[in-house]
Amino acid sequence: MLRSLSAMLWIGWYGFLETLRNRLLLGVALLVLPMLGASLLLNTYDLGFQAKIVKDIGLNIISVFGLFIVLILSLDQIIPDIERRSIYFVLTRMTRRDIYLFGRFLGVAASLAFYQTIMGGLLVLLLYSQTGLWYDELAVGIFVLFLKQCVLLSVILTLATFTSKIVIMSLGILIYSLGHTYDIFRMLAEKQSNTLLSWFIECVAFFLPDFSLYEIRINIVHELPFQASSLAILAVYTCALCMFYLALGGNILSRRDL
Amino acid sequence: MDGVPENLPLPDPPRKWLVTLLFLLLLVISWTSLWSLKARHGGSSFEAYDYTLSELAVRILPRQVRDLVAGYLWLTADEYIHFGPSKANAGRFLAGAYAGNTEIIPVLEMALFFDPTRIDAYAILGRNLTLFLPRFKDGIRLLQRGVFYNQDDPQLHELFTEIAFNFGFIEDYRSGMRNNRTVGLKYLNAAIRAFNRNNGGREKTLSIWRPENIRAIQARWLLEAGKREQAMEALKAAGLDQTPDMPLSQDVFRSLGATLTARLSAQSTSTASGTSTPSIKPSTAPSPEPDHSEKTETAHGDDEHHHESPWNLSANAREALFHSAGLMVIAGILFFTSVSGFRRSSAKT
Repeated sequence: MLRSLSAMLWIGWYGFLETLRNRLLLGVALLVLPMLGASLLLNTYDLGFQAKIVKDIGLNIISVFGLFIVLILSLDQIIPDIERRSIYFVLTRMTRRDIYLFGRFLGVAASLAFYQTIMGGLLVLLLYSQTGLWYDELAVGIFVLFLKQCVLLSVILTLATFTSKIVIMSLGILIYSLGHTYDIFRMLAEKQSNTLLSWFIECVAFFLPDFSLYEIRINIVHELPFQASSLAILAVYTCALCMFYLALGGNILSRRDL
Repeated sequence: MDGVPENLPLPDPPRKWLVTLLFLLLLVISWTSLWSLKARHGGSSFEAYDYTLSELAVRILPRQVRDLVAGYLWLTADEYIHFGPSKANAGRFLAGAYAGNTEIIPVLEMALFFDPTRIDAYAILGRNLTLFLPRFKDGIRLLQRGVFYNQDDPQLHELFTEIAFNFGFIEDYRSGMRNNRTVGLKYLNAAIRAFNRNNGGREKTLSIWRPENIRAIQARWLLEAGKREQAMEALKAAGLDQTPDMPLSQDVFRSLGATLTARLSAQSTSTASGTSTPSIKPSTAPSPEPDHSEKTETAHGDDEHHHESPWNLSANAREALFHSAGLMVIAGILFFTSVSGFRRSSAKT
């Protein structure tokens, strides 16, 4: 058990170092920093700094950048390892393949946390320098974004165990979009009074992540109160989803003929 | 093969000057048709306005994409209005009112940047700048920009009337500024002309800037300017006939205001929003600011919103917990099967 945990952490750590050396990612990060600064230009008619829109745009930029990290890095984890056959060196030193998948997940999640902390910190400092107030709710917003992107990351890593890059991209985007729209489908099924369709939607929604639970933007931008217990439950839900997808991916990888 | 000569003569190559001439002719035809079409269908041309580089860059995007972005920003502005000020602007304006709301300004500016044909955005932004924030010139320039971009729009008369309103009633909102109803009257005339030219009645809107209301304001200002006959004509055009022997005094306008208020009452019930269109008060100047009772009601609505967050525990907790438990069970089963699967594949190798 301890050996597996240690192996998982080491894979995660080296994965994290690998992503820090990824020049493409650093390029994207450098692109995002001036964009955050550009929010200062929104002071039209010299009416003062408007914190609300800067928070709104800043959170959106961080969210989009997180999405890039997930898509760019997760595609660079398992498939190239199998193609270059470097996975064999790792697998010969451990007993289980799902540990390898967990380690890879930890590596990308650590990079995600690292970049989001930098960008979130920058946004908070920018707001503090302009308004003299601390917007601590942004920390919660970035944490929730991190949870959301961890779920997407686990989905993509699972897909990476058995499909090609193009299929991963298409299915990943489909699952991501679908995850935001379950309520619309539920409403449509309810309107049609179609029980069978409702059951089908519920079945799909049970196995696929519901990303609409992570929509906390209104609370953060408009400084509405939120409950700590909600955050805790969301963290539990995220853990469960990630475990489920990584277990599924590990299962597939274990049975795959490499 | 009989009858086929071995060396067929090659056709003469086309003359170079003829090709060049044809090429130039095509160029001239395309250039002429391009500018003829632009002249015929109106709209803005690049020569008519100094576009910035960023504006030109946005023009490259397809119109549908620009409309989508502008629509999203318009909805965001509406959201900002109804949630009230952030802690940085606490107490500076009320939730549900656009008056003095500085937070919506960059959002609406961006919406207009992407889609310069949003008349409502010009109206709200212009009114906010001129009447409630010390930016009179900026507000008027913005409304004039709206006029420029929307020459053929059936709602163009609303923009002209907004400018007229700002010139004609600024005293009621900003101390130290004087009304200029001479200029206001010119804009009201332009509004009537724009309504007739662009067939403004073809689109049913909830705006109060309908010709009869515009005429009523026009009548009042004309009377103040001593043009009694023209004022009578304007009233007649507004459908508010006065007999020639009736005195056109402040009392008349009180009754006229009451009539207008009655007309608007139905409309105000259907636009129960802080961004609602201006209302005309019976006896004094028409006020674009929503009245106090309306503000209080909206503010109450937002207070309730504060307590009942859209992201609350009760709505999603049970579902999320049930979901998590189910997934954990399945994840456990998958772990066990992955171990056995690995052992089996290892045994095979």
